[in-house]
Amino acid sequence: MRRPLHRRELLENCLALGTLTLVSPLSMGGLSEAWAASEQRRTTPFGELGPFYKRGAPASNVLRAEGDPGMPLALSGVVFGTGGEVLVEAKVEVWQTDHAGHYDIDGFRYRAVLAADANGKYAVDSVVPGHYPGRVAQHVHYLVTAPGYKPLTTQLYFATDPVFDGDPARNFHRDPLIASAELVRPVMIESDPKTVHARVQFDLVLEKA
Amino acid sequence: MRALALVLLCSAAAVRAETPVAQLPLPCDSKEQEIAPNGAAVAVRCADGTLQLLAVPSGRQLQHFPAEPKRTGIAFSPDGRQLAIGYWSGKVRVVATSGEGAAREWHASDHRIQGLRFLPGGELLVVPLGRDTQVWRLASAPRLLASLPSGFAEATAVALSADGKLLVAATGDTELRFYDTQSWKQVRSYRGLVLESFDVAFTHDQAQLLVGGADKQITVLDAATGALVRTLPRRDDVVGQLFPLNDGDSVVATYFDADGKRPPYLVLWSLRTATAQPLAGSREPTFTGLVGGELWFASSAQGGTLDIWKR
Repeated sequence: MRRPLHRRELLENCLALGTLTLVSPLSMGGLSEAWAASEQRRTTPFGELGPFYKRGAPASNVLRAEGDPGMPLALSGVVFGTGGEVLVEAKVEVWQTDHAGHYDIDGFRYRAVLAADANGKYAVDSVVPGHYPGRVAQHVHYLVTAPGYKPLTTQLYFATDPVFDGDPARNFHRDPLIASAELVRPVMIESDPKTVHARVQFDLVLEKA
Repeated sequence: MRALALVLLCSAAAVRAETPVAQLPLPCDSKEQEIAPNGAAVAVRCADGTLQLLAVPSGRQLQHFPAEPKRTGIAFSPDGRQLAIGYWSGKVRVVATSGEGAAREWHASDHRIQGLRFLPGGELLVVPLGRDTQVWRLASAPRLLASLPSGFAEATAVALSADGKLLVAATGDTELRFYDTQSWKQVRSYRGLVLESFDVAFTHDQAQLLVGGADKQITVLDAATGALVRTLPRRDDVVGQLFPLNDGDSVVATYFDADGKRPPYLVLWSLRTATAQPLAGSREPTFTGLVGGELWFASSAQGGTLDIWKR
């Protein structure tokens, strides 16, 4: 028997179906509040760590340097515990390829450790990663830790990735490493007179240790 | 000057020496194979997802494994008589390479089995999982001996000393953990690496531990203390596998381009002099393995056949 969808799941599924949406930033904020209103949360699905994790990434929330090619990406979210509590001491480590699908393993380009703020929020400016050879889908790696909680390794995917053919809920299996359609996030394309950029919200939920 | 030229020519000839072992007809399109350590069988990963086990040198099919359920890793036992298969579902299956006898099968985890490694002797099987590394004793009913914490990421490579007393696991969090196999307690660790290691191996005399990975270099540690001895000069590509040879000085390393744009290649290192020579074969190898202390290669690059040779 199918269980009824919770409000948060319904919102997520709706968003996952829309692969390219033109919205104002306020809409994302409203959705975030709606998600936060839900109390119990499921742990964010696991994603592979490697193979190019690098210890010692700098604490910086700006990964994109002036003149870097690729679509600017504003990535943000809130770190929760499964009880819905906001984890203000969380650390969010992210790493990804550059626009061309290349990991920097000699240095620390597109690698950072972010500290959650007093509201459990993290945010980073980057570019939409390219396709790494050997992987099907574009992705951003996450390692999330918080005192008293189990570390989480996961990956964020982009609903706009052509590999999903506009239907990530149905086609997420095309990349065998994607454990759940929940990890494929809607991409909001926003524009102002000067730039067009992508905005993705990825909330993270950790399980108590 | 003439003598030096002669020495260089002889060295080059030695490095290029190739002895054919077998040429097998390939039953499928395959770019990946694995040789059993006794040289009697080769596992052929077919492009259609099936796995075929062929006898060497006859090419006779020993076993065939369908594409489903989905496999995520295989490993031969050190004597080549057993094959362990890990599945996406978290199941592990151990079969006799010959296909005779009953398979042993158990559910190790809900997490997919990423890699498997038999330990010398073939009685213990290491199963890296999400945040721990399981060690199973293989008997008629496999028994979990130990579950070793591996930080926030699974083990990417393991090595056991020849006396069986020390297990070293390289994990995705870049740490090397040393375990006493009597107590299965962690006895030391090495945290001097910042990128993942893809292989660890004891030298032939067991005195040193070699580590290679995404940092594009081979790190040499004192096996007894875990202290850094030296690093060999960095190359442009990532170290994939390490094969210490019986002479006690040489180690063959496979290198691959992290961006996947160039084919993998082999380098012969001298640990004593820290000098490297490319192993220039005439064909692009699709597997490299140690058989009875000798380095074996194979290539399916010609299509239709699998050429196996040794140096």
